[in-house]
Amino acid sequence: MEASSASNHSNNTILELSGIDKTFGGTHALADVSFDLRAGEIHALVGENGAGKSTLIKIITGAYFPDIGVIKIGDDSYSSLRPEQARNIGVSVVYQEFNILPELSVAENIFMGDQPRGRLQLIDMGTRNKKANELLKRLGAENTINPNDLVKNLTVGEQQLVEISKALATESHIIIMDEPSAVLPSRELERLFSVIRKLRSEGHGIIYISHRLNEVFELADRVTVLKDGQLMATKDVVDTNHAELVHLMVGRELTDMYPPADNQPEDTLLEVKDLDIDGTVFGVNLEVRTGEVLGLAGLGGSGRTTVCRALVGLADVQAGEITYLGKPAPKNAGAASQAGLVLVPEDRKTHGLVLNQSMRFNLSLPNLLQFVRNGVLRAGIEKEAIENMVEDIQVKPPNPEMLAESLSGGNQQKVVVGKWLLTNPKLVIFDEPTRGIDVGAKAEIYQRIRDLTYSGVGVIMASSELPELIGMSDRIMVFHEGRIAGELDRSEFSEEAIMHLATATNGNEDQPAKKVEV
Amino acid sequence: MAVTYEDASAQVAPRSSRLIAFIRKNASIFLIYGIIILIAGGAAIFSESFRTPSNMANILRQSIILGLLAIGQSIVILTGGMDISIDMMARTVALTIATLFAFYNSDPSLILPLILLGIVIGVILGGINGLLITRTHATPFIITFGVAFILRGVNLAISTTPIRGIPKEFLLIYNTKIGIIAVNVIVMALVWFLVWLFTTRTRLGRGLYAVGGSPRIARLSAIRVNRTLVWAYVLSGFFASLAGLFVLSRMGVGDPGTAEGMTFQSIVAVAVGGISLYGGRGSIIGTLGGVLLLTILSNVFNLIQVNIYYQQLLLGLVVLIAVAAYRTPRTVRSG
Amino acid sequence: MKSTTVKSNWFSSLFSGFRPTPRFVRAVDLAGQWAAPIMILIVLLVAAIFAPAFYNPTNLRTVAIQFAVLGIVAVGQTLVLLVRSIDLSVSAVLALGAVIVVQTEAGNSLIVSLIQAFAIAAAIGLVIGLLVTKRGVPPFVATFGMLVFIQGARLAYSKGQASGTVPDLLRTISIEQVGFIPAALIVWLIVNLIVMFVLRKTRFGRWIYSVGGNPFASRYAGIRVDMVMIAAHTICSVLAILGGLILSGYIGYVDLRLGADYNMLSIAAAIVGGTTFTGGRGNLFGTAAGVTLLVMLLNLVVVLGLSIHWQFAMQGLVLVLATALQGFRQFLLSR
Repeated sequence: MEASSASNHSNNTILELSGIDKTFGGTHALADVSFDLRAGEIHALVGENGAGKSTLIKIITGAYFPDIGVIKIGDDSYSSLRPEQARNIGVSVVYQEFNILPELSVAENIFMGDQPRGRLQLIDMGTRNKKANELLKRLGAENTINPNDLVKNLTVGEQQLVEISKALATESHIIIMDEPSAVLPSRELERLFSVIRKLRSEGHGIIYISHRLNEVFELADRVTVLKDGQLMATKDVVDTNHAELVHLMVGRELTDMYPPADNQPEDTLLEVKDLDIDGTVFGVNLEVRTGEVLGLAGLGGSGRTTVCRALVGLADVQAGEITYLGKPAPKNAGAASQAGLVLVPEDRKTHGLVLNQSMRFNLSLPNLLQFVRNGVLRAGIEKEAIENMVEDIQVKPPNPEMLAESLSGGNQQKVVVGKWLLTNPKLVIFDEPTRGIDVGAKAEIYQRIRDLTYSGVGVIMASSELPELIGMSDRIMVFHEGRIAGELDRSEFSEEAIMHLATATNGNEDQPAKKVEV
Repeated sequence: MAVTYEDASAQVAPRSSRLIAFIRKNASIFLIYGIIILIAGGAAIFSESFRTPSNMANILRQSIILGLLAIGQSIVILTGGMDISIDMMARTVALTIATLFAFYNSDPSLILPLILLGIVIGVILGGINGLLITRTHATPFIITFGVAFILRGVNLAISTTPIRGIPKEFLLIYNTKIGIIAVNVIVMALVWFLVWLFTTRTRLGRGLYAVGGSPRIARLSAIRVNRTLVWAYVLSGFFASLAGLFVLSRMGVGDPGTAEGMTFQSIVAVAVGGISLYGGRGSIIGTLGGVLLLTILSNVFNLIQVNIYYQQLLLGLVVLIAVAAYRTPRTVRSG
Repeated sequence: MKSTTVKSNWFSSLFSGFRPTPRFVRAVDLAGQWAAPIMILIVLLVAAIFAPAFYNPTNLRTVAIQFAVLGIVAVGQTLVLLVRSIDLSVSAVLALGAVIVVQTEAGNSLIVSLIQAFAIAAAIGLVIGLLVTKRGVPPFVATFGMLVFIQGARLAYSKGQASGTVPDLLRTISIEQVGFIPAALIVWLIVNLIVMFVLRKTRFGRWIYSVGGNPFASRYAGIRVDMVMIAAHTICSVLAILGGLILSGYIGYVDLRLGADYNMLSIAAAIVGGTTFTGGRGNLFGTAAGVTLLVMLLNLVVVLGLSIHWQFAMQGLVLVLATALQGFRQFLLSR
């Protein structure tokens, strides 16, 4: 259970990936990436969304097989791992989404896969609780967490400690933490950090994934930067600085994907005052004008998406006013789309499309009223409108009867955009409009957004891809932990400026610890 | 470093005392046994015939059939499934064994082999359910519903009239008593204890909870989900076969109406006992409470001579209220 | 430890380790879509060879009326399945309608009792819809609870007596013919045409498919998901009671077992016809094919001179096979 020796581990490599290549349907998720982890070190892994971090992690945990490359763990080399193999070798992951069962006790969750058994092969609860307590003690949590407590009665931070104990229980020496700080309120961060340092001092190797660069500097020994599936650099933390990391993460040549920004913002279309939503968004103010693109930046979970949903009546607003065209905004998605206020959602498969229906069905869905005469849907009218739209958005193949699930990602996104354009909107909210789609489709969607502004439509574009925010927006508002951290005008745009606002950790904020209820 | 910790722990809301926590954790169990005590107490005060020791002993014996079926049902429901075929599995076992007894002229030496055969039949039927569900990824509810119908047809084909020829010795299973307590009640108490041990203290038993809580997380924790599911249905078939054999011993004939309507009663007993119909939560002790409650209610109804049809209505009303009071579990961070 | 690993490998490789070829997936998909028509042809052929009496006009007329009743109920069940729900209370609602009309006939005018019957059915559907949407009760639990409640209420009301005064109008609808077509079949045709029209030609029809296909995307598209589900359940209950009226008119009296098999039959008909449990897929042509198949099979059991009990087994077998096939098909398609 204890690490073999507590002395100097720093040059003892326990995990080495070399020349890893992985492609998904033509796009390089990882290209010739090498990475190593030593015993007794915290190795931070940073990069933008889609940079390849999660692909790399999945290769280490055996969820993906690499196309090329070698994984070396200890003295053994593998061309690929299976999940149970990775687990047996001692790799475990603490995900943002905890993999623990809320209805079971702490001790049971920690030893779920392999419960200590005593006489008659019965589970020995005494030993189990004792062992659980030892693990919790190693994390310094033996006073706050009782092994008999149900997990659902713990705070998020405590649940995370259970998750970490679970990793320790399988005697893992390679522990991967996927943005562990993202789910925690600020005041539980310090405890997490000391736990991680404790694990390091016990000789574990820790891969720490985070967007927050100050955490990297506070915690990590080395840092590896990925960008677009490429390895940018691996550096000792003492040899680098904030600005250099940001540059490595985001620096890239601007292409001419973005149409010229010659739109003319005019009257106020939508105004939000002091918006509070269910413990995730606090006091947000914003304003959109006709013909304007307002960019919303911020890390995952910073409140961007929640605000987008609230604007079309899909989230419970606690306090604050939303004024649309001089009147209070509609309270549900149906009324909002009738009034020309529409949301192109972030997750097209879950929220955008009925996958087992045709392209025509999906394009028609919010527009059925247009095709109704005397209460009856007129196939002719529908067919004409849909064919025009299919041609307009250039879906390939241009067959309206094609099932949505058999279209490629880019074409699916075009269908989602198309179905909302067909409603003749006055304000379109795009949440991650280009996630996971190819370059050609991206450019078409950017052109579409620009065309909308020419015709006086207002656009809100929430995105985690900084280049597109910079290329398309007239103004950018940056979210940080549910609040607006700052607003940037076109003259102030730079990826560094946005990242600084989005990653600034403001330690004074003290949100109430969220109890998880069932 | 330790200092930071004590700071952190000091900020956490003070935990309620252990006793209150224990009561809160087991609220549904306290509730069900509270109701049992209320109803039994009320009946004991108002009805002379209810409070006789022999009636009490009788209630315990009456609870065995529903108990066996409800145990099997609990195991399946804990995994997030449901077994609609248990009454028909019990009937198939009862009728098959009765037919064989009749065929071999009530030979008492066949009692043990035929009991074993009955159990084997139950296990095989349960295994078929389990394999159909795990291999075809179909809804457990509908698969077992269909299997129940198949078995109903098979049972009717075996016999539509009571089958005579059960050896007298077989009836001892139901009749043997020590004082006023039937031996089978003592055995049943042991069964409940063993099942409790199984669900709380064995790997497979806890696996039921993990699979019912979240198959994905169970799989990530190295629990074999499909195998756990098949075992759950096999056990359900096993307990159904025991129930069928018990009914056979009680009736003394192979009754074509064996266990009629018991599937639904078993689901009610499980749900009333606090096991979540979504799986992963609840205790077999609650199911015992549910079984006792239903048995006592039926006993009281019979004593005060409530029309059987109003009994049905009351049962339906209880179920509907229980259903309306149902709370959707919000999945925590588990998906 | 070693041995368990070996065993588990054998166990899990039984099916789950296989990688289906695209051709295999396509074959299963086609089989799922065309199961009913193919089976109908086979049954017609078997009937022609082994039971020519099947084609006897009197027999065909019986088949037609059974077809009409089940067809009407199955339309409602299909709607409910399309929105990813299920209704296990149709059998009870069907019987309840018959009871109301038959028993109030003595005092009230037929119109009043018909209005009563349909109003009660609509109320039942509404309550089920509210339980499912607003309280998050799993549909099979909510409707199963409703089933027991309605059965209890009916028994308490009728005291379990069979009765035999079916109004003339109902007898006319069920027994008379227009030309050579039974009137009941015309009722079925009208219901089917209306619902087909609604599904294909109205916004509500699109909403049904959308809500079943992806409730989240439907909500994002501004559809009131809860309203659509409640409406589907209400329509289903109303159609069930309509089926009950025609059935009671045909049989001429109302007894306890009236309509008891219609849960099973209506679900089986829809599933065999290609409707899936995962919602949003299926249509009334498929359901009509499923109904045809089931009714023919049921009738064939009689015509072939087999014991009537095999009807149960046959229904169960069809449901299990259809569910397994559809479940497997969905599983393959979703990989």
